[in-house]
Amino acid sequence: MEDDRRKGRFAALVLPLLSDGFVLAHSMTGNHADAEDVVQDACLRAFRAIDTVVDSSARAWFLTIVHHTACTWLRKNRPAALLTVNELDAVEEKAVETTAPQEIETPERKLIDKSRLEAAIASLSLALRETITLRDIEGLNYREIAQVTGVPIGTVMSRIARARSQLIALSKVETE
Amino acid sequence: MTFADDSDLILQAYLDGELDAINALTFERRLATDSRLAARGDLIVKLRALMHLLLEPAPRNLRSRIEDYLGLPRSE
Repeated sequence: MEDDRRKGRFAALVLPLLSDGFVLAHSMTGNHADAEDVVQDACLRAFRAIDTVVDSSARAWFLTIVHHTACTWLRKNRPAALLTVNELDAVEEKAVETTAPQEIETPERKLIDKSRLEAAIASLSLALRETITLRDIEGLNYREIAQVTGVPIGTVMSRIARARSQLIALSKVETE
Repeated sequence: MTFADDSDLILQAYLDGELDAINALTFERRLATDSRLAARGDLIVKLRALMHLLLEPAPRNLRSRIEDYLGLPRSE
C-alpha cells in the first residue's frame, strides 16, 4: 500500500518532467543514449527520495537530482569534463576575452540554423552549457538555476552572460 | 564599454525578467539612450528565440523504460 502511494506520487510529480530532465542530461553528456542512462539513474534517486519533495518545487528538485546524477556519471566516464569551479571560471574568463565583444561586421543578414547553434552550444564548457540550457531552453529563473547547479546567483549571471557572448560569436547571430 | 562588464550582466538580467520594477524602469531609460547596448539586447533576444528550437521531448521509449525500471504501471 505504501509502495503504491509512493509510486503514484512519483508518477504524478516526476514522470511529467522526463523531458526537462532529458534536455539537461543531454546538455551535460552530449548524446541521447548517455542522457537516457542519466535520467534513468536520476529517476531511481528521485523515487527513493520522493517523500522529501514539496509538490510546488518538484521541477527544480528533480533537475537538481539530474544535475548531480550527470556529474556522477561524468566523473566516472569523462573525468576530464569535470573541472573544479575555479578552473572552469579561469578557462571561461580567458575564452570570453578572446570571443567577446562581437560587433556586427557586415549589414548582410545571415541565417542561423539549428545545427550551427547546436555546434556552438557543444563547444561551450560544461558549466556554461548547462547554465544556458537551464535558462534559455528549460526556462528556469536565476534562483532556480543556482539551486540546481549549486553555485551563487552571481556566478549564474556571469555564466549566462559568458555563454550568450560565446554563442552569439560562434553562431554569428545578427539582428535583421 | 566591454560586453564583459556589469552593463551586460544587468542587460541580461533585465531581459530575463530578473530586475525589480524600479531597476527595470531605470534600465529601460538607459537602453533608450544607449544604442550600442540596445543592439546588444536585440542580439540576445534573437539568440534566446533560436535556443527554443533546441527544445525537444524525451524519446518516446524513455517513459516506458523508467516505468519498467521502477516497477510502475504502464501509462501507455
